[in-house]
Amino acid sequence: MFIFVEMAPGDAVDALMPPESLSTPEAKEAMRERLGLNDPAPLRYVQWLGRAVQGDMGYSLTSRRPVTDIIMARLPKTLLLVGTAMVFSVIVGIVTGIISAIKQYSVIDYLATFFSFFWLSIPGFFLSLLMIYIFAVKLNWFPVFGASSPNAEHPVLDRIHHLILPAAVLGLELAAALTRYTRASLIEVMRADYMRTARAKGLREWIVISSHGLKNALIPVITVIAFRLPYLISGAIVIETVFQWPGLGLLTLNAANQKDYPVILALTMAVTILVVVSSFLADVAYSVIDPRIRLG
Amino acid sequence: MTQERFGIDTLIDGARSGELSRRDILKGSVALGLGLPFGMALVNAGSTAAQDTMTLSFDAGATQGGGGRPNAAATEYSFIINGGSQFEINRMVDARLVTISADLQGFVGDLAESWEIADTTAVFKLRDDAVWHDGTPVTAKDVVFTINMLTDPATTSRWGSSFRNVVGYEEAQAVEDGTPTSLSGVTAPDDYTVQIDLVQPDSGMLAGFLFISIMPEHVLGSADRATITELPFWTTEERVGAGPFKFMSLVEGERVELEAHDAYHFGAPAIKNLNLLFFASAETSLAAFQQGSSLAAPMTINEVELVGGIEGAESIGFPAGVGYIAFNVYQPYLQDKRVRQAMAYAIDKNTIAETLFQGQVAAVSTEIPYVTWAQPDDANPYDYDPDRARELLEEAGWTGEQTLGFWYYYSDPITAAVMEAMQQYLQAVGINTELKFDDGSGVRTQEIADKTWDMTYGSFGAQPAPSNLTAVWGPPGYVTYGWSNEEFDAAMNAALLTYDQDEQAEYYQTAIRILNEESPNVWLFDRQNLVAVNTGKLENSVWGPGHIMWLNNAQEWQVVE
Repeated sequence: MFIFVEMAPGDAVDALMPPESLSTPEAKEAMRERLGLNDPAPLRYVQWLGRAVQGDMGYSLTSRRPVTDIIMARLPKTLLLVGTAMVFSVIVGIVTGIISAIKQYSVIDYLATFFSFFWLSIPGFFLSLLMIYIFAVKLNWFPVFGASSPNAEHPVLDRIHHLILPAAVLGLELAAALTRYTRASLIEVMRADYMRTARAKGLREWIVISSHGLKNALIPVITVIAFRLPYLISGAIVIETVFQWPGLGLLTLNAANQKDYPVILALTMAVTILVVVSSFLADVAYSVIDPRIRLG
Repeated sequence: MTQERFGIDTLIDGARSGELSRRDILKGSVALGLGLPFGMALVNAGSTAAQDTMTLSFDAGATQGGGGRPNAAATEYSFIINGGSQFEINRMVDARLVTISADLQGFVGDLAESWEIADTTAVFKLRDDAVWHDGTPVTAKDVVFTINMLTDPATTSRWGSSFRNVVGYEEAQAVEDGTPTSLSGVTAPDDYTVQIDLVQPDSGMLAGFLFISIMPEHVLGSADRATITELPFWTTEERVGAGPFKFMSLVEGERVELEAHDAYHFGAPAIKNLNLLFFASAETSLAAFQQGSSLAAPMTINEVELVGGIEGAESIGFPAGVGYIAFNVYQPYLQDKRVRQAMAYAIDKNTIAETLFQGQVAAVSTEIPYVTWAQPDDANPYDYDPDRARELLEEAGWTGEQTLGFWYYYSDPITAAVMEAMQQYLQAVGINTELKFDDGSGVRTQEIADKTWDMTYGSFGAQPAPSNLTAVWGPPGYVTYGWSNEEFDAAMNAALLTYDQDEQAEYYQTAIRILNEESPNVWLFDRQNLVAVNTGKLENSVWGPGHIMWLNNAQEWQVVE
């Protein structure tokens, strides 16, 4: 990531003092010297790494604030948005997928299929603007932007109120994907021999589906969920920008534009940790659902 | 199921005790789920109705904002390094020595009550009723500290060079060991007088103060200047200024919350709480305005009709500088002035102004249309004449084989349309261009550094005198466009050396005539920035040039229902 930022033309001083800012070449040079940008790139990377392993992520080159402060102020908001979108999509996606599979070729199945493809096809930014127009501007049910109102009387309710639209937009696409995967997986499982055996034992249909069908059908679905988490985080860049949700997504966009490498590297690290943790959680979830995968 | 059962506690208690059936619980939950948004809407409506609170939106500028602002603004909270989109915060929190009049014709006092500039001495008399947000009086020591801090090489401020004509500036720059520097030419004879001694007369010196927030010596005086921009001071309640509003908190990525400074020297602001929002998406900013969440927001001409349809809303225009095409005269194929003049003739700026800008801007042929006293009346207007353009190109031996890179950095859709129109006008006379949008990725900056760029559409800042022309084409050479002219330099220098406006007018007119003939750039439009203002609710707001809140009347703004 550091190499990519280095390879891109321009640097943070160009962001701070763009060509039209009428800053003298001497002022720009002094600023480069002060920010250490004149040091060789390998040296800067080693310096950054040396501090990073001690938990010091340095200062943002443009806002001059500690990177840790900036990220820690925003990380919880992204986690809240992505987490809510994830929970929403898992509930909606899996429930719809199950109903679709059980009621295959019914009106409900066709409707679920239609909406799944609709949500999968519609670009996130367009859906965001559409939702803002309908639910915020026209109906005035939700705020247009942000994660909180100034001087809100009920901060928790206020946060939920701000969360609903962006989380719904972010979650709908994953919900649509999960609907398709759950449906396909469950239909396949329902044709399996052990399902016929379960029914032959005289078990009630919903026990057959929940205890025997779902457990097996959900294994590929969990994989989809785990591997969609990074996608959700990257999707959050667009959603956060449109809804002005003050999370890591919006920060990533600004940092990339400003070649603010201490922020970019710290963000990459934060997202990497999130992805590793999500993969670990997926592994744990496998073992919960499928005893064959359990350790020992 | 009765009405009182529609509460979370009732549902939980009912479920625990077995009083409610599973069906009742399900119905109650659905009702609560559906009712939540409505309930929230009510909560929200209650929290935004206060009349002493105002929220304004701004274009963050750092991304795809469509307010017609340059694309590369950084978010730096002190004004020391950049300013950029955070200027609006400084405009509200800080005071300056002087500011600009609404009609752009002159300077008006802010902390300075009066000033006298003669030969190489400028004396500013400060108001004695200005106090910092912490109650300490603002004195001449603060002004002296501010200039010393900005010119200290350890601070590396972009504003330091504004004072290069002050006695002691060069000596201060030579200090390399980090010792705090002070300029011998900046002194405080008493608590309310600042004297600035200049190396040579400078009629443009007041313009240099427009962006300089005066900072509190009693708070920052002992700070290490090399790390001064990293202090929590800039983004916390520690922030002390002398402007109409106090900095209360930065809600990360969302807004800056300000509170009225009741002892403000122009009077206590009528609005008690001011929230400044910085949007990365122009569409969202306008939607927030449409919803009533903010009372003012940047907009473009495309949205005039939309804003007109919002109850109480008006589109208000204010000068945003003069649009121009600048040429890189280092390029051999742009060195012949006939090629540059041909481009001036080739573009029908009147038609573009009337159609794409919907008559909201005027076509111009010189640099600062407001400063009529400095304009020569015999300047060539370069009226649309494609035949003349072709003749000039033929005389210059233009082959048409060259494709010129044509940069622009305003991200609004109108600019994109204007660029396409200009591209077609140029193509019609045989000049091929490739439009290149500067998304802030640094490619254009690199081309400028390598002197490989061809031409850029940009805009020239508006101020009461065209003294800033030297910033682009003069000897200091901030932005080297490769064009220089000794006669122009001499005329501009002579204008800066005299304080007599009639004499200045003569020199400026000479300089502008040279620019007009040599065409190191093509002047196009008197650009306007538009702001959507809910004048039904926000009274007494005056919108200034350049940045939205330039003028000192924030204390008079009122929110009415």
